[in-house]
Amino acid sequence: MHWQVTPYSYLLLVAAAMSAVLVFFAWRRRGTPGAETFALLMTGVCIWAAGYALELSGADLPTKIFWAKAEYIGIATVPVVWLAFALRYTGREGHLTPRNLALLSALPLITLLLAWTNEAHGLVWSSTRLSEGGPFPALEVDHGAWFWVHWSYSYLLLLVGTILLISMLTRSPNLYRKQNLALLLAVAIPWVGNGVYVLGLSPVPNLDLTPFAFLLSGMAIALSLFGFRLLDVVPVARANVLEGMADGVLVLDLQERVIDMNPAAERFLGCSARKSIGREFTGLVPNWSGLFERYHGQAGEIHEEVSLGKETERRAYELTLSPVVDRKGHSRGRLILLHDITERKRVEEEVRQLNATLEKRVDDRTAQLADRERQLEDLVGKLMTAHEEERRWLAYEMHDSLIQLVIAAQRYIQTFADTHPPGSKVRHGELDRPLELVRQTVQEGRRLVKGLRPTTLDDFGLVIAVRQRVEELQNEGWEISYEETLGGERLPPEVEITLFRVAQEALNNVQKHARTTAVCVALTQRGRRVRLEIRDEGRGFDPSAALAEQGPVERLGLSTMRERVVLLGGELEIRSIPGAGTSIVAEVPLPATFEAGGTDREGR
Amino acid sequence: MSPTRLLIVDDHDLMRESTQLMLEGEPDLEVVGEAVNGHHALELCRQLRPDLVLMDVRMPEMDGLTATRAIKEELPGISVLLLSVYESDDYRWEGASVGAAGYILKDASRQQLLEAVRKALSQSGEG
Repeated sequence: MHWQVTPYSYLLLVAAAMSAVLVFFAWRRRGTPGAETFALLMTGVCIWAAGYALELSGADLPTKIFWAKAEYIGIATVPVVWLAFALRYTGREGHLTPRNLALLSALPLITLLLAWTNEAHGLVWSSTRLSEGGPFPALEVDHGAWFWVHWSYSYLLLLVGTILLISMLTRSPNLYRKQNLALLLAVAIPWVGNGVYVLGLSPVPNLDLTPFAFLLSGMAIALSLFGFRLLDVVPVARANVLEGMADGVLVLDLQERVIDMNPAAERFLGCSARKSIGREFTGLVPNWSGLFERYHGQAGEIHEEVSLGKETERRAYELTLSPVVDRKGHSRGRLILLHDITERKRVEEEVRQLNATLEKRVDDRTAQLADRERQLEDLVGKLMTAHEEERRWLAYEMHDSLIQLVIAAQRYIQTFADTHPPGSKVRHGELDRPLELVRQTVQEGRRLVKGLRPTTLDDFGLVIAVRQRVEELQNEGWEISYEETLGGERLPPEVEITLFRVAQEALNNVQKHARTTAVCVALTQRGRRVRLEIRDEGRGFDPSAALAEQGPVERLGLSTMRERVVLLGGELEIRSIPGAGTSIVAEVPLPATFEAGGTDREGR
Repeated sequence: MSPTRLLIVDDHDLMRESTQLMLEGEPDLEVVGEAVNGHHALELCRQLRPDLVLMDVRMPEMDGLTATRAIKEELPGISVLLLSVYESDDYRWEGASVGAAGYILKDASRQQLLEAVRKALSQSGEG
C-alpha cells in the first residue's frame, strides 16, 4: 500500500476518534434509553470516517478501493442503526424485534457483500479510477445498479428516522427545550450535509461530507442525551450512594414529571425508572394527587406520612418533599424522599397495644380492688350490725332473765324484812322462795356466759365443745349423732371459733324452725380442709326465701356465719328442700402456716 | 269504804307474783286481775274497771306506754302507775305525756311502791 496523506485525512481521523470517544461515553451511560444504540451508531460513523480517511490517504487505486470497501461496513450499517436509535429514543422499542432487525439488515448485508465482491459483477461500482484533478488524488467511481438500490434504501431509513424524531420533538414539553434543540440539530445535519454534497456545494470537490455530518449529528445527540440531564452533573460517587440508598429518591421537574428515580423508589412505587421517567408523578401514584395541591406554593421541606400497596402488603412511608434549586436560586423541580417506616409503625402499634393491655389490666385490678374494698366495707358493716345485734340480744337476755330474777328475789327478801321486825319468829321454809330465785339467777348467769363464749372451746377445743353441746341436746331428748375424725387435734383458734359458731347457729335454727330433734353432726378433716356438716330431717325451707323472709336476727345469723367462713377462705353451703330437711356444710382451709399438732393442748 | 281495785300488768310471772306479794297485808288495796301484755290489760280494764293499773313498760305485742295511752283515751277514770327496770327520765316524761300518774322502778322498796300507789290514787281523786 502506498500512502499520500492529505489534511482531510487528519480531519476524518479526528472525526473517527471523536466518534470513538462518543462510543465510549455512551457505553458508560448505557442505562439511559437509546444510549446503547447510540454507541452502535457512533461505531458505524467511526468505521466510516476512519475508512474514508484511509481511502483518501491511499496513494494508489488498489489501496483506495480496499479502504472504500472497508468503509462500507460503516456506510451499510449507519442508516439501519439510525432508524433503530430513532425507534428506541422515541419509545417505539416494541418494533425492534429480532425479526424486524434481520429484515432491516438484509439489504445492507447484501450491499456489503456486493461491495466486497464488486470485481466479479460491478453492481456497486461499474468503474473505478484515480482522479488527479483535485487537491489530492481521489477515487472516482461510476455507481452500479445496486448502489442506487442501497442509496434509496439508506435515505428511506434516514428519512423515517428523522420523521420519528421530529414528531417526538413537536410533542415534547418545554423543559427539554435545550435537549430538543440539540436533537433537532442532530436530525438536520445529515440532511444539510447531504444537500451540500448533492447540490455540489461542497467546499472540497470529491469530498463526501456525510461522515462529518454524522459526527456532528452524533455530538448533538450526545449533548441531547447526556448533556442536559440534571443528575449527570452529580459526581459518580454520589450517584452510587443514591443508587444504593435504602430510601427512595425521585426527582421531579417543575411540571411534576419524573426526571430520575433510584432503585429503591422503583421498588416502593412498583414501576421501573425506564417507564416512569418523563411521566407525570401523579400518574404513577394517583393516590397522592392531592399532595402537591395541598402544599402548592409552600416553601421549604414538607413531611407527610403516606402509604403504598394493597392490604397486607401495605407499607408506610415518610415522604419528604423538598424543592430543587439551582445555583442561581431558581426552582428547577422537586426532590421526593421516601423513607420506609412500616417497621417503626408496627413497633409503635405494638407498644400502643401493650400499653392498652397494661392499662386495661390496671383498670381491671383497680376495679377488683374497689370491689374487694366494697366487700370489706360491707363485711365490716355486717359485723358491726352483728355486734350490735349481739349486744341487743345480751341486753334482752339480762332484762328478761337475770334482772327479773334478782328483782323478784329482792322483793321477797324485802317483804320478809318488812314483815319480820327484830326478834320475831321465822317460820320454816319462809325464805325458800327467795333462795330458789337466787339459785336460778346463778344458773341463768352461767347459761348466758356459755352462750357468749363457751369456756370449753378455749380450754378443750372445737371437738369437745361441739360434743358438749350435742350432749346437752341429747339430755334434752334429741336424737342427735356426732361423728368426728379430728381426734385430739387442736385447730387454729379462728377456725375453731368460726366452726363452733356455725354449729351453734345451725343447731339453734333446728331448735327454732325445723320441728325435729333428729340431727347428724359431722366434723371431719380431709387434707388441709376441715369440714363441718349439720344435717336434720326436719321440715326444711326455701333457702332464698328464708334469707328474705326471716327476721333480722335470723338473717344475720346465716349471712354472718357465711361471711366469717368466707373470711377464712372457706365456703358455706346451705341445702334445704321444703319437707326434706336441711343440710349446712362449712368447709374451711387450714392456714399455710398452721402445723398439725403444733398447739399443745396440755399446755393451755 | 270499799278497797281500791288494782290491775297488775307484766309479761313475767315472777314480777306479777312478787308485786302481788308486796301489796299483801294492805286492806285498802285489792288486786282484781293480772294481764300479760298491753292488749290484755286494755281488755281487762274494760271488763273489771279497776281504779289503778300497775303497768310494766316493756312487754311483747303491746308495750306499757301504748297501752296507757289507749286506756287513758278510752277510760280516763282509770289511773296508771308505770313500773320499769330502767332508770330513765325519758321514760318518765314519755309516761307523763301519755297520761300515766307515776313512774317507779321495779326494785323500789315496798314502802316506796305503796307511797307511789297512794299518790297516784290521790292525784286521780283530785282530778
